[in-house]
Amino acid sequence: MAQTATSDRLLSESIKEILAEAAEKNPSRPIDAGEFLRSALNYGRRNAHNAAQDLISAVSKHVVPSSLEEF
Amino acid sequence: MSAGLQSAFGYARVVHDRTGGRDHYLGLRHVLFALGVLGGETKAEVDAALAQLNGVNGRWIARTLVPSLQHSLEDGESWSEWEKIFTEKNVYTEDNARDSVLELDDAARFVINAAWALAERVRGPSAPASSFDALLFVSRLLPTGQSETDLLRQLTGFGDPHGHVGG
Repeated sequence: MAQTATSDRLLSESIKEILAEAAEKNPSRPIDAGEFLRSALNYGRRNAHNAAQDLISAVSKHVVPSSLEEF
Repeated sequence: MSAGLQSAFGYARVVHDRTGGRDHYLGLRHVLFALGVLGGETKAEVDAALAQLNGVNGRWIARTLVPSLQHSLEDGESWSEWEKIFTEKNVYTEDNARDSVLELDDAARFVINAAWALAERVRGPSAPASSFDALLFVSRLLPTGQSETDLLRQLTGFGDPHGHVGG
């Protein structure tokens, strides 16, 4: 978690999981806002989390499936 | 963590401190909302990631999250404070609402416009409804399992001899 360290220690488990996933994908560079969002949407595909799940559901309805698969 | 993401976490903490809740743990919804409304490096990073998803941008993300934020309210969390933040961050300015309506198909645009008109009728001319009111009104109606006909009847008043519009 060295790359993803934040001074805010009070983070939900979902945030910690998303940060860990994003860090694993690109261990050599800092996680940026876009990568965090991308990982959060993927998290919403796999987990019952209100905001993340609603967001990925809305995005799925809004874009063509192939663009979401490449996202 | 990039400067843009650090800013998002910082603003998410501000939002959490203002809106409250059952504990001090920062939620994913706070961070997602911050990603949608912040400018500068955060916006640049978010927009770059979303560029391949036609029509989806940070502002769209923020608007889309509003019903989830309302449904996820915890004990002690202030919805009125959330609404103040929506106003401060222009989540539902008229321009944004118009953009939002333009992203919809004809049927959805009709429903939103009808809801807007209804909200104005309910509030009266002295307190005109905002697009935010109208969209919230729709978000409250849609999960109820009503048929489209019933929904449109409620939204427009058509077919109801008493002019009752509900809500």
